[in-house]
Amino acid sequence: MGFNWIRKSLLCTLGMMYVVAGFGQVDTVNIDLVEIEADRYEAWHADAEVDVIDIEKAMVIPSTDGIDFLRRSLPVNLRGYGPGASFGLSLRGSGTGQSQVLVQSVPFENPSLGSADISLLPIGAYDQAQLIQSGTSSYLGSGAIGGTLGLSTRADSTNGVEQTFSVGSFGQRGSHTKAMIGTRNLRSQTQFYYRESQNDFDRLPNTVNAEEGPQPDAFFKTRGVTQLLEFAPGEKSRFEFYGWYNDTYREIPPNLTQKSSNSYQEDENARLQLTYDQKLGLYNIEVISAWDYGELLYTSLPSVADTSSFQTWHNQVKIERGTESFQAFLQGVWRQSISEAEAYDEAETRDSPAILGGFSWDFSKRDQVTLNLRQECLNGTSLPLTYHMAYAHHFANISMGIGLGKTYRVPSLNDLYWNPGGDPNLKPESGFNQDFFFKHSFGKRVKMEWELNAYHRLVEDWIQWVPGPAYWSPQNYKEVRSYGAELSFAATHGKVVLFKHQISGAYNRTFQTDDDAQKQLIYTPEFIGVWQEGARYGIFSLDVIGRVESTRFTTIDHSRSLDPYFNLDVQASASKAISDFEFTLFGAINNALDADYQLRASYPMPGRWFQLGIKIKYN
Amino acid sequence: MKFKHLFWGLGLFLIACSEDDSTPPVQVPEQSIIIGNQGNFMTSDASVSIINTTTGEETNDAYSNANGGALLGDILQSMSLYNDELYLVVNNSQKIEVVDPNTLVSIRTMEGFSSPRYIHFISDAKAYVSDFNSTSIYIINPVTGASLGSIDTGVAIERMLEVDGEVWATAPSGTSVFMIDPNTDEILDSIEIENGPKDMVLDNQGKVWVLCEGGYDENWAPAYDPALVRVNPADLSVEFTHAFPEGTGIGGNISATDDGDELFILMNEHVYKMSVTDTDFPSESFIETDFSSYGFSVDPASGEILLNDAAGFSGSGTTYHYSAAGELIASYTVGVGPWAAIWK
Repeated sequence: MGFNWIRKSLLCTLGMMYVVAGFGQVDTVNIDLVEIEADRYEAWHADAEVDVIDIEKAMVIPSTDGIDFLRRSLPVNLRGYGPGASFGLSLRGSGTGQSQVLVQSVPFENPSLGSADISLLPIGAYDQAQLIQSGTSSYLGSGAIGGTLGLSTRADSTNGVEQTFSVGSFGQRGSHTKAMIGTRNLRSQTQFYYRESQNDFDRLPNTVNAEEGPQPDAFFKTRGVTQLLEFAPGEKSRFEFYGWYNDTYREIPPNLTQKSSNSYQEDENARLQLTYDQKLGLYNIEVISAWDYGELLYTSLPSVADTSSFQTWHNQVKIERGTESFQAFLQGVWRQSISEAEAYDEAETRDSPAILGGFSWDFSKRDQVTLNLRQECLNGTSLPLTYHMAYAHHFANISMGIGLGKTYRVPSLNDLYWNPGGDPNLKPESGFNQDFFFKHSFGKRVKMEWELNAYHRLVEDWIQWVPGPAYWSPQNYKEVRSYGAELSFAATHGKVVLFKHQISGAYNRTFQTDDDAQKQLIYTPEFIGVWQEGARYGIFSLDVIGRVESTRFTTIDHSRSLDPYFNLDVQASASKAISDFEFTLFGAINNALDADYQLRASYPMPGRWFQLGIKIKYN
Repeated sequence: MKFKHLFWGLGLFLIACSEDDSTPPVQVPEQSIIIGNQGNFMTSDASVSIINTTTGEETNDAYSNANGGALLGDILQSMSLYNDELYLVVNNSQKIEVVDPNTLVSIRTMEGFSSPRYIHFISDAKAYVSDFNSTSIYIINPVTGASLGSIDTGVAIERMLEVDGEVWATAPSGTSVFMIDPNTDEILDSIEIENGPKDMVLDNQGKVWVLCEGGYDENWAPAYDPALVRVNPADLSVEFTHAFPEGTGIGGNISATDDGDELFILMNEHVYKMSVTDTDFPSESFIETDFSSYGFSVDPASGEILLNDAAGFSGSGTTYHYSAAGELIASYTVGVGPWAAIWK
C-alpha cells in the first residue's frame, strides 16, 4: 500500500533503541524507576466510575484480538458483523461516532469516519484499559457523548521476552512477541504481532436450495509492531516515544443470502508519538506530540475501489497542579486532520484547537466537587463550550455522586460527504447529560462490591445512519432521549482456591422524543449483561464467562429484529515457572453452548469454537 | 380394551386434525397483486406481499411463509412473469429466484450474477439479464440457468424492451439507449438522448417513450434534470422531449395501458397521465400524493395504479391502490421498500 517507509522507520528506530539500551544495560532485572502511571481519568469527574482493566491479568487467553476480550469483559455494545470485521464501540446507546477511543492519551480516530475502528488496535499489546461510560468524559474530546475507552501501555520494569503462539478453529493462528529491555533510566518495549483466520465456520444460509457449508471469502489477517521507549533522565522528568504500525487485510464475507463476496478492505495505520513529562514542585507538565496516519482501501470487484487516507497531527500541553485536596489542570490542544477520499472534491482539513481545564476539590474529607470545561474551535469557528460538573460524597465504604454536563459533536466528514449517502447539510449534535453513581464495598472474608451508574441524556440533532434501498445514509434526528444504568457486582473469596464472581449489566433506552411509541434506535440492545465466574488454584485458573444481549431491532419501525442471545465461553490456563522461564498453557471453548446468533442482520456468528496456545516468558 | 379404543380414537382424531401436507402454506388468490418489497440494503429483508383485491387483505412475508421460513434475499429489484413462472431478481443476493406464481414455492435458483436488475425473455430457452455491476448483459437459459454468453455494452444496462424484433436497452449511467439483435446478440445501433435513460414503454403508434431520470454529478449532487423522450424506432429520431423543470428531482417510472394509448409517468409525488398523441406534457398531475412514491405500477388491463410509500425505508411500507380514474381505493401495509408489482 505504498507506505513502507513508516514500517522501515519504525524497525530502524527499534534497532537503534536496542543498541542504545544494550550498551546502557546494567546487570539487573529489577529496575526501580520513576513511577509513571497512565492518565487517571477518574480524578476529574466525581460522578462516574471508571472501569480500569489490567489487560494482561484479565486476558486469560492472551491475544492481540481485543474484540472478543472486550465483549467478554464489559457490557458494552460492539458493532461489527462478526469475526474479522471492523468494529465500532457503542456506549450507552450511542453510535460508534459518539464514543471516543484514546491511545496513550491521544484520540485514535479516523476523521473521515469520525470514529475508531477498534478492530485495528492490538488491545492485547496494551497494559491497561479504562472505560468511562458517560458523556462526562467529553472534555477529553467532542466525540465522547457516550463515553471513552482509554488504552495505554508502559514499559515493564523487568527485562525479558514473552512469546505467545495460539491456534484456533477456522484457521486461526496468532503470534505475539514482547521484548523488554532497559536500564535504570532507559526502558524499551517492543512488540510484534500477527494474526490470521480463514473464518470459514459453518453457516446455514437461510435461503432455499442452500446447503450448510463453510463461510467463504472471509479471510482476515493483521500484523503490526509497537515500540515504546521511555527515558527518565531524573526522578522528575520522562521522555516517551511510542510508535505503532499496523497492516490489516480483511475479506468482507457474503451475507446469508449471498453465495460469495468480491469485497475486501485493507487498512494501514501508524502512530508516532512523543511525550515529555516534567514535575516542577506541585506542578506536572506533560507535552505530547503525535502523528497518526491511516489509509483504507475498500474494493468490491469488479467496479468499486475506494481509497481514503488521513493524517492527523495532535499536539497538547497539559499542566497539572496537585495537592492532597485540590487538583487542577489546564490543557491546550492543537489538532489538525487532513483527509482524502474520492468522495471529497479535495483534501478536507480540520483544524481543531481546543483549550480545556478542570479541577477536583475535596472540600472536606467526604466531599468532592469536580468541574471540566472544553472550548474547541473548528476551522476558525468557535464551537459551543462543553462542560461537566459533579459532586461526590464518600462514606466509609459507600461513595455516591451526581453530575451534569453539556456535549457537542460536529458531523464527521463521511457524515457530510460520503458518496453516496452523505449529507452536507447535517447539523452538529448538541446535548445535555446527567449522571449518578453509587458504590458500596463490604465484607472481610468475602470481599464484595456493587456499583450502580445511572444516566439521562438528551441530544438534539442526533446523527443516525439508517439503511436504505441502495446504501446507508445519515440523518439528523430532531431529539433523542437516552436513559439507563449500569449495575455491577463483584466478590472474591477463598484461600486455597480463590474464587471470583462478577456480574455486570447495562440497560439503555434510546429513542426519538417525537416518537410516541418511543422505539429503540436500531442495533441498540436495551440490555447487555456479562457474567464471569473465575477460580484460581495454584498454577491453574478456570473462567466461565457468559454474555447476553437483548433484541436488537434492524428496522426503525421494529418490524425486523435480531433475536436475543446468550454466549458462554470457558477458558482455562496453567502456568509453571522453570528457572528463568515461565510457561503458560491456555485453551478455550468459545460459544460452548453453540448458540446461533447474529450481531449484524444476515451475518452469522460462529458456533462452538476452540483456542489453544502457549505463552513463554523469560526474565 | 377400553384403552385400546381410546388409543385408536385419539389417533384418528389427531390424523383428522393434522394439516394436509399437500396444501401449500401460501395460495395466491385469483384476484390479487403480488408486491415485491426491495428491503434494506445489506439486511436481507426483501420480501413478497400479496394483496387480495377481492377481500382487501394483505399477506406479508409470503415468500418466506411459502418456503419454510427461508429468506428471499437482499434487494428484490424486479419481478417478471413468464411461462407461468415468476422470476424474482434479487439484486444484492446475486441471484434470480424462480417461484410458482400461485404458491410462491421456489422452483429453482439461478446464480452467477454480480448485481442483477431485470430479466427480459427472448424465448423459452433464452433471456437477457441486466446487471448493475457489469458492463455486459448476461445471456442465460431461463429454464436451466445456464450461461449462454454475454453482450458487451460498455456500460451497465437497466431496462430492456422488445421493439420491432429488437431489444432496446437503457444505460442510466450515461445517455445511451442500445438496440440489440436478439437472434445474433449483437448491438445493432445506439442513440444518445438525455441524461439517465432508465425506464421505457412502447406505445400503440410503435414509438418508444424513454424516461430519463436525470442524474447526479460526480459528487452525487443532483445535477441533471429528468426528461421524457419519444423515439421513433424507424429512424431513431427524437420526436418529443419534455424536460422537467429544475428541482424536480430524480425521475421515476413510466408505464402504459394495455392498448398502448395512455402513458403514466411517476415523478416523485406526482403521477402524470397523457395520451400518446398529446403534443404537450400535461401541466397538472393526475394523482398527487403527500409522499414521494417509490416506484409505481399500472395494471395494463384496468389502468388501476399502485403507488408505494417506502416510508424512508424505516420498516414496513405502504402501497396505495388507485382506480383508473385516479381515486384512492385502498391502502395496504406491506414489506420494507415496496417497489415492483405483478397484477394477477
